[in-house]
Amino acid sequence: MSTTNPPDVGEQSTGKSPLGRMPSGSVNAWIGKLVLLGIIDVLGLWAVLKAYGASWWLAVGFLTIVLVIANITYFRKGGLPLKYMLPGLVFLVAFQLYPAGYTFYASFTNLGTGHLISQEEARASILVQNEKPVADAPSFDVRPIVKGNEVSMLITDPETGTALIGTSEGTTPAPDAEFTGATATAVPGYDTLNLGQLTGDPQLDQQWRDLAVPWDVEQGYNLRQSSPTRGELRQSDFAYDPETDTFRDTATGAVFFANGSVGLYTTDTFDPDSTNRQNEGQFLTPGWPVGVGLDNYTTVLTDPGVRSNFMPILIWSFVFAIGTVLMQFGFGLLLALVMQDKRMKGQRFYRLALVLPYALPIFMTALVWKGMLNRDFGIINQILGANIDWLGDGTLAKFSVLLVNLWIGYAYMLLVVTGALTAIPQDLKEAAFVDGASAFRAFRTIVLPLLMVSVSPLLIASFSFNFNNFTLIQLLTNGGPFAGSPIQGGQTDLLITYTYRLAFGTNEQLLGFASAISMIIFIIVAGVSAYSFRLTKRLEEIKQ
Amino acid sequence: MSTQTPTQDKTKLRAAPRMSFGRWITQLGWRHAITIAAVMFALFPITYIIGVALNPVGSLSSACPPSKTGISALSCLVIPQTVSFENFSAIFNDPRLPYGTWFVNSLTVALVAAIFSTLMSASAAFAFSRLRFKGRRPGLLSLVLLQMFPQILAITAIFILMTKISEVFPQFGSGTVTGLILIYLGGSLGVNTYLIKGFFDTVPIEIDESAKIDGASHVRIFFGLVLRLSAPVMVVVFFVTFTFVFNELAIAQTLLPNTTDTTLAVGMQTYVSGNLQEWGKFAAGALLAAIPMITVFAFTQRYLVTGLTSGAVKG
Amino acid sequence: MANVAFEHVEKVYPNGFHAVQDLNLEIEDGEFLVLVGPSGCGKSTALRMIAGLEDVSDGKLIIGDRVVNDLSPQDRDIAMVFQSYALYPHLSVADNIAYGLKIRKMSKDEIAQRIQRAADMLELGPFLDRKPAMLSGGQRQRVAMGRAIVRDPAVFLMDEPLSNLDAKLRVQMRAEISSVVHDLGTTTVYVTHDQVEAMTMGDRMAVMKAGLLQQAGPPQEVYDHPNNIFVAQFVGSPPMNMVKGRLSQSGDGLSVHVGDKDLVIPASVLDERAGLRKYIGRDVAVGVRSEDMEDASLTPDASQDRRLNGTVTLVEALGSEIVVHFSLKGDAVVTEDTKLVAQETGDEALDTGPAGEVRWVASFSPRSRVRREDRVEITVDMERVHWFDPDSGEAIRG
Ligand SMILES: Nc1ncnc2c1ncn2[C@@H]1O[C@H](COP(=O)(O)OP(=O)(O)O)[C@@H](O)[C@H]1O
Ligand SMILES: [Mg+2]
Repeated sequence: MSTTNPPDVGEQSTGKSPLGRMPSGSVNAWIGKLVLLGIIDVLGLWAVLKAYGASWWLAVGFLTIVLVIANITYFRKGGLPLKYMLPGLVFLVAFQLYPAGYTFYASFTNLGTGHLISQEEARASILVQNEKPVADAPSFDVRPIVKGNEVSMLITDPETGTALIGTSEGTTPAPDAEFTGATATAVPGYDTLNLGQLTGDPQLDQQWRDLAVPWDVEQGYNLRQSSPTRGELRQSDFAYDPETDTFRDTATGAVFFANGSVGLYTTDTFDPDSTNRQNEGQFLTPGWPVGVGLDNYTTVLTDPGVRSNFMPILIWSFVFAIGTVLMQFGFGLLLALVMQDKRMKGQRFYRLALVLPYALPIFMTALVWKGMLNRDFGIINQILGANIDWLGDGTLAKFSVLLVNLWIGYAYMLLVVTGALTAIPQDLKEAAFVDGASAFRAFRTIVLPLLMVSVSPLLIASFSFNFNNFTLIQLLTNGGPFAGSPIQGGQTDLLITYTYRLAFGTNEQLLGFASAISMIIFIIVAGVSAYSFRLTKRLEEIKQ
Repeated sequence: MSTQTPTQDKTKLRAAPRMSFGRWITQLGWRHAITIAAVMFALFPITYIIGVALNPVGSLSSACPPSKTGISALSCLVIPQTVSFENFSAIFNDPRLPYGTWFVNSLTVALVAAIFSTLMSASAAFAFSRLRFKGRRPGLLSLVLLQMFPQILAITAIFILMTKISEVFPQFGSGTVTGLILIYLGGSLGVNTYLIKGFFDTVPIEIDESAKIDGASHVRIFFGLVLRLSAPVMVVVFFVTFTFVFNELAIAQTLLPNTTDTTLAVGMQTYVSGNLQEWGKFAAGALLAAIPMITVFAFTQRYLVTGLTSGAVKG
Repeated sequence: MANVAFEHVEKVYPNGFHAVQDLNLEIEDGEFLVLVGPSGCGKSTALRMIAGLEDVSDGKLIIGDRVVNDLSPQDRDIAMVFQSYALYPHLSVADNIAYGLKIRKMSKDEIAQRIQRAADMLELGPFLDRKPAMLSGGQRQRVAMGRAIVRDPAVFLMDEPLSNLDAKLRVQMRAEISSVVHDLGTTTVYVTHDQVEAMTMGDRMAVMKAGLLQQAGPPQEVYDHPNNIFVAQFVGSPPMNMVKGRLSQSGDGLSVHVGDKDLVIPASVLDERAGLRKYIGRDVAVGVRSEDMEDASLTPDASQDRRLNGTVTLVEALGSEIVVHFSLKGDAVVTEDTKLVAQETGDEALDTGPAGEVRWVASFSPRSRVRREDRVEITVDMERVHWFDPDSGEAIRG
């Protein structure tokens, strides 16, 4: 076969892989590979150019490296391991490793509401947000025009009546503009957008709204749209001085300098230890994220207010995860043992029915239970003839959450335990009986220890999964009931739902702080897992 | 009850001794009792939701008339009060809550993510299991560590990353199904690779070697032999990934917050949150949503027991 | 210590399979009984009924003077060695051995002493702290033995305990188990499908086939006086040679016509097996063990009426003897039993060659000079020939 291969196609005929010399696929396969790589290269190049155009250097770097490595890997002889790992590796790095690393980084910053964008963007934003229309300025006729995907502004100068094309860089004359009456309405090479087109394409609309054309640089006047056909001159309350990197309030003369320790432009009377309200007027928003060292972590552990929210949630997370695993495992084990007797009729039906909860989507079952546990209309209260607030009372809600999770997860354990039990040789049990053990004793001293060897890794995995069981809590209780404001955490909040609320749940996003809690969760789960794996390692020695 | 006593087929050589009723109770009867109780626990939310779905009134209380309480309310769990398919057609005719779109989105995301993730993890696992290279052990260790950092912990970073991506590549960023798939692909690899590698390790290397001697290429050995022989674990990984993605809520609702174009996990809760208490529609949608998972489960369950335990044990 | 008795014991599995039928067998106190038979014949089932691991469907099972049908294993005072050894993988060797003692709440000192004694007896001392996974096959076997003997039970039960060992270890452990068990003097039931173990190890052997006990007795007696063709062929290696022969009156006595030869039956045999006379004019199954034949050239005195002619097909010189395979004119005896044994032993000597010929195996004195493809004349020890009904397979006796 290898003699019919093209003699010079790299690895195919001459390659020496770690697996040894291997004749490899046909010419067709090789062409297939070429086509596939070609497609990837084209797509990749397009992406690199786009990222370059947007000045997103991280993406440019990453994509370039990936492209280069991919081409080298798949065209060179050997290097088999990378050939198999590269696709997975790319996704792993981009969407798992990078976010994990970024989370780690963010946990040491004040990333969040007011500190979301870069310092450069913050500067622009401060100017724009504090713009006011210039008094007594003339009104402009303008039109949104587009070339490629770039929106520009076609301006009719009210003083000269000539046409100009305005961009964020400045204005250029447009002598060939077409006029309707005295108003320039089109210019060759550009499409003029009407209201319908703007509202139909949010991206163009956003560009149009954001477009600020410098009109009088001296005065700090910008020309902005006020409607799709009208423009107005605006001027910021603050003047920026690039030399000193400061803002000056043009009305009061107050000076704001870039304060690197808090990521804000502040006056020199700004007190970093006071609240925002106390510092009112001493700083400008938005700011940019800056490193705050271990502040986020120390806040969690030492700030009395935060701690009193955090500790109960931490404890409940443990109770929930451990309780869930024990209950699910216990119930699954019980059922597996009960059904172990082969003489029992109807096993197929029983197993089918019992495993069904495992085959249903959690977003379905969690919400069904929410309905059933409803105080006023829920079927459970109806059957009990009671009016119990299952999800509204702290203790009852905790109980309900555990009960529902038992329902959701015991079937998985039943499957696993059944499998593990059948893997234990029948002989061993019989030997124990002959040695004089009662059924219970044989189970306790022989079957259970062997069972634990095979299922404990799964129990650990189940612990980590449930420690972060966001879906169930969000759908069933949303973390509630709440004693105070949701930001202080609810009775059934897990660390992960609490974190999510800090990050996305309220008006104020505390991304850095949320990241710090994420890291704490990671450390807890990794620690518990490592510890339990060490324990099971000892059991593992039994086999092998 | 005596019908459940094991009786022997008369045509057999000889009937096994019949059990006395007392013996049946002590040996098997109690087992049936416990199991039947468990089956009732397992099934009653399901029968309940069927009742709600078939009830055109659509409120929670209509599934069982409030006049019924106690034992008589139990009957609502067994017999639907009415039978109507109004809810089923209603969910497909609501442009604000487009159930059909959610369904297609969820199915697409889960299938694509599960297939590609399984394939990519398997090929990485092949390298770890069969090839020797520098950085193999550290690589494996990092995978194990990474497993303990589920993507949900990095949700902030993912949100920021995807927002940035959608500025530059609107086709792949947040708000798109493709973007969601990309994220899930990145997340499931760490877990799956390790699991699959453990199973590959149990396929004897002699099989590779003999194929090599027979002239098979590494590609052929991977797809034709190792993957084939590891069918149980591949099926399990596919099932686990499919289930995970189908159920995933946090990332999905962060990237696809808009109810007009999102997944089932995110969309379904809108039927029954806030002022909207459309339990009938929810129930109908939930029953349909269960179909893909039950289907996948039915096809894979043959392998699940062996795959789940063996993968974990040998990993 | 105790005797064990089966009285009309039946075993029907829940699926209706009748594994043991009307078993009557008494094992005396202190006796070493080997239960032997081809695989699937119900040996393990019988043994597991003694252990209490299987219910007795009908009849009585007695240990000591108690009917134990309804006793659970832990109340029967028995110890068992499993084919797979069934060592507890998560316990050390010492803990494996101590398991049954701890359950009986024996004192720590007593347990330690017993472990020590068992370890000495089985040379397990150095391995007491190891897990079973870290032992060789032979060592595991010893641990399994140790676990049984420390218990000092009334009955030892062993289910093919040597079948997982290689040939050499098997011979060694065979002797070791015999001597340990005989030293202890404990009643023992030992199951095997290996007739060599059956011949060498026990005080008595019991041969089973398809759920039915065929014969029980001291090994040599079973060997010398098999009840039927099955026992005759199953016990002994190579299996007993068989051929059909026609009985006829010759003068006072009887002779049997095999192939083209007539063999005269000695008067002493006729005294012992009077029943043979009923077969005059009919076919009988003639059985000859390999050691009851000799190269005729080495026994020139032997009379013509106990000689057969054959063609040598294979010669195996073993030093102490020469095993000669030859074909002989005559009709093969084909019954279910001969097929079963052929299957069990996988012995091609039992292949019936071309029609009208049978393949036999004889063991000659090393002085014999026969070669492959020689025509050979064989003398038969007519006193030791076995006679069976060719249809029922039963031995023809009184
Ligand atoms: N649990 C069972 N159910 C049905 N048939 C069985 C069972 N155990 C064994 N048998 C059958 O009973 C017969 C005797 O088995 P066994 O006693 O194990 O034979 P052996 O003599 O090889 O030890 C075999 O044919 C076997 O297939
Ligand atoms: Mg057996």
